[in-house]
Amino acid sequence: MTRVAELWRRIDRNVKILVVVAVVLAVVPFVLSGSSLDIGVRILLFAMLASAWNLMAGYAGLFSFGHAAYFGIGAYATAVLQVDYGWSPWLGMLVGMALAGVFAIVSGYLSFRYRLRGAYFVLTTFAFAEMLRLIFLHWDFVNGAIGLRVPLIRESSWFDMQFPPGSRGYYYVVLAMLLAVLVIVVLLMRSRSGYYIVAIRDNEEAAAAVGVNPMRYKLYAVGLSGALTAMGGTFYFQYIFFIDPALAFGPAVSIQILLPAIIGGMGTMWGPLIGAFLLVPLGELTSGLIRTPPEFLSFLSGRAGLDLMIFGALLVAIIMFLPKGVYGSISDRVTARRQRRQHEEAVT
Amino acid sequence: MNEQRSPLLSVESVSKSFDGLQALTDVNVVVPQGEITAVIGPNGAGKTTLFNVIAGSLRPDTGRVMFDGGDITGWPAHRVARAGIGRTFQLMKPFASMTVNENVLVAAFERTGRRAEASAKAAEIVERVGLGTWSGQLAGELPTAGQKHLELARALALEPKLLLLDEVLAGILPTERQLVIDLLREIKAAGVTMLLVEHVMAAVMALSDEIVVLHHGAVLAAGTPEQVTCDDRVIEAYLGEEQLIAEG
Repeated sequence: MTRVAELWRRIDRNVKILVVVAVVLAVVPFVLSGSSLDIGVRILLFAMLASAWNLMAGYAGLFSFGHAAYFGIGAYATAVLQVDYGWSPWLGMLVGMALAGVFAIVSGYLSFRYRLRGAYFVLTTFAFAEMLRLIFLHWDFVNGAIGLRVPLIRESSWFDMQFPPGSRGYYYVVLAMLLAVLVIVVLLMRSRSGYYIVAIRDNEEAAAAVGVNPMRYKLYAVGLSGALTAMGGTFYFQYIFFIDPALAFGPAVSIQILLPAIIGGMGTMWGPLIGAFLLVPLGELTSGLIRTPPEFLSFLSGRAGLDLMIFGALLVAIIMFLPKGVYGSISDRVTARRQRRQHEEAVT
Repeated sequence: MNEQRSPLLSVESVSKSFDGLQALTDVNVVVPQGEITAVIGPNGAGKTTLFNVIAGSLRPDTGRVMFDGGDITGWPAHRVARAGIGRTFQLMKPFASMTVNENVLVAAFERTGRRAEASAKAAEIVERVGLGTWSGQLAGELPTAGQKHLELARALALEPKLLLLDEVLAGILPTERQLVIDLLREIKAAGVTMLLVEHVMAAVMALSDEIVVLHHGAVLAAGTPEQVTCDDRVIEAYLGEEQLIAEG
């Protein structure tokens, strides 16, 4: 027992948190069921997507407003291979990840090659996603505006990533995906490549002066972020049984992917997860409130879009008072205090 | 005396202009192996431009840069760094979100991919430049002098053959300068060649084996400190100006 304790003490703090998070989340489906399990699935999906986005936008400092491009590629690669060729979604997922990674690297290369920065870079990511949406909208091979449907098999199958209503299968698939992304982020940010990626974000010229090739490591971050985002696209198609160009590549998708990370804290390990835990239930709550308002709020009923306005106002408030996100602002304060103490101890 | 030594770096007939403004005109600089060469000159003489041409941030219009037997003209900055040229920036460029140790770790990773080894080396260098008590602090929160030391620490972690030092003494209290001068002597003794741009003349005189005087983007004079300070053109164009101002 003491050897286990000794081993535990030597493990990185984030790895410990990850183990605890994994255990807690694995138990959740035994407590929740029905529609609350559905909310759980959405939380994990957006936590996973936001973590993948955070790799590029938070750690590498390359703000993307077009992650729908990678998400959509993942969804459509799975859909086409499954519907037209009968492939397992797992294989489709791998193909989608590869395609999205390549697309991210090629589009990223073009942006970096022509030195697009700040708002111009952001707009380019948006333009690439919109470009894909329009191409798919008019492409007969992927059924254009009509979209694609998952072939129903009416039974539970891990191989086909398909489960009957109320089953815990989807929850565990998306949990596995989330944990995979978190493990990759933890390991990457402790590695040489991770340090290089952050160094380039902090000061590209200084990073190059110590031998870091900025183009190479920016493309690494972008490609990995794109591939991991595509994994979420695969799951989304399997979960809602349907995909069309707007659901895959629409601007709303890009926004839903980036919001949890911004609310939780960009460039932090746990920000995206915390952001998703706050935002997804909040979104459900506001939209539920509009659908069936309580007596004293009856004037709200049927006012489409009002839920989004409430949602938006809450976001503005969070960003005003916690500019680095919920987790980012808190962890900054804790770190500052610890550092001050360490320095005082070192000096005396 | 210095001619027998083979040059580690030679800048050959380099010219560079920005939008018609001639920053460097036919500049030749030879940096002998194992020595400290200083570039001096009034503000706007082209010292930092020369540094940027050597370190790969700028491609010269004409001429070439030879380092360690190879032509490195126009190489991107990261390749120049890997070839063995470390540099510090006059305006400090810390990785602000990282601690002091981590800043140096990034550079140490260039020589070894093993994290434990790189960390140990980074900690040792941080201690050596006198930042030990700051090692866990965020680099962005260091005072100016600390950030200057950090620039030096990062460049050292690269284990360079040649160090380009852009005003490492500026912003450091006169009482603390001697520490840096001693440190640079130690680094020299370890076999590292240095090219420095410096305004603090006392330090230039104390450290340099060779001095190159730049004026309006061209080399006005080059030689040992004694030769250069006796050169009439230098006195007239550079030192003389200050004397006249001081006397006038």
